[in-house]
Amino acid sequence: MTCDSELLVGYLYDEVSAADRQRLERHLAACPGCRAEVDGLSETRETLRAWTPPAADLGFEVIRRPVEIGRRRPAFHVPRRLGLAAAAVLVLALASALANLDVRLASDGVSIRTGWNHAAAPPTQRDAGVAAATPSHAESTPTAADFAALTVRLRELEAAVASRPPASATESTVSVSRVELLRQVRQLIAESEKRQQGELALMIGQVHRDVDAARRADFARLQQGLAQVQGLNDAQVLWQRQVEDRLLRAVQQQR
Amino acid sequence: MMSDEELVARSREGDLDSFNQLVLRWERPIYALAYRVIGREEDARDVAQETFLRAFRALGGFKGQAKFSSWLYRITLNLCRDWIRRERRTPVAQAPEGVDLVELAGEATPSESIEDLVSRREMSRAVSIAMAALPEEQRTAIILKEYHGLTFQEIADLLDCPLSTVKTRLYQGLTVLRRQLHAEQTGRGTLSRREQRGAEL
Repeated sequence: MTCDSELLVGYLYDEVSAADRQRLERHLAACPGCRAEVDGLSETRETLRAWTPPAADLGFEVIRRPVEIGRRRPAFHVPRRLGLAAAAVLVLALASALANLDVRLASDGVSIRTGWNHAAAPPTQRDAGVAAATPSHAESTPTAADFAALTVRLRELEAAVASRPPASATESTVSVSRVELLRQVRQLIAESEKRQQGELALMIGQVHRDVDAARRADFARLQQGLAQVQGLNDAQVLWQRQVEDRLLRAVQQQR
Repeated sequence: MMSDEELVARSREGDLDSFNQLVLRWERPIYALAYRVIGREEDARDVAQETFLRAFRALGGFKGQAKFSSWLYRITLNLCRDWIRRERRTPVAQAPEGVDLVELAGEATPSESIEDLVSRREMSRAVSIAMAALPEEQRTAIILKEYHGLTFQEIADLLDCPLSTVKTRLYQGLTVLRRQLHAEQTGRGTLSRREQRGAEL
């Protein structure tokens, strides 16, 4: 047989039939030229194994991108009026929490208190005296101001909810355009920021009043303490003078 | 361990973890293929990354008519071809300038001396240079056969050419490599004999 390059390659890579293999091996035994070529190409294949690619830091991973706004419907739909009502409740709850609101139902009516001072122990008779001497903001002004502010805010929210046009029956099925959606989102963000600013101002005012009240109470206690110390000192001086007078008189009598 | 076909089926149903398992399984062979075809480490990495991105996007159109690995190889070879066309240059043999013995010592296998490792590195460089000099179709056929173990028929399907053409490309490519590598080894042998004589004198 003549040297067939295709058969030779098949033999090199062991992809020949058994019959072709036997036929080629018989030829190689009788043909030194083909034998040398097969040996040389086998050696070349061995050499090729030395070629290794450099180590690379791969670690590829396909990650899912976040879904774009407006591309996919939410898994559930909340009616807009219900959503606004829930937002109003949330705002009230937040404002209550921030103002540390305390609502009590008593026989004489409903009382509402704000601030952090009311969480402390009730004032004793002695503290009551001090409080009477220095007007307490925590007991009177802040509660009334906060209650008024909260009432106004509640009415504003109720008015906002009431002024909303009623949602049409087909609203949930109509897909809003991205521009409209963006506008609504911006409006919601603006309203939220406005609310937050109002609540922040309320909170800052409350903190200021509480600090002022605490400062006044501490000052009154300090004055009282100083007065007591001063009174004690005066009594001690008087007692010492009396002792000295007695001693002086006793000495004079002995003379 | 799940087969490629099972992972592909799960991936087609939206299971991202299954696809990432396929990525983990095939990223090194794909990177190695790209590196050997285009010869540049960073570009090979980019090609490998792009291969998986394209595969992920086109997963819906993959009906399993070929092996998943063959499909990946096809995408990779197309990207390599685009790279060669875009860069308008032939693949390069990228090799380090100097030999860092400390780095080499870390690469050595327990049974391999530093001298053997240096020799292997030099041989690797010689092979890469010889491969870069081959025509693209011969080089690709040899890479797919020698380093990825594809059958003649799989290579023919991948390269859209007859079976006999694949065998011819392999034979011609191996013959050229044999000649070049023999010359390289002879030259190194001659050089080392000269160095040895110079040292003796």
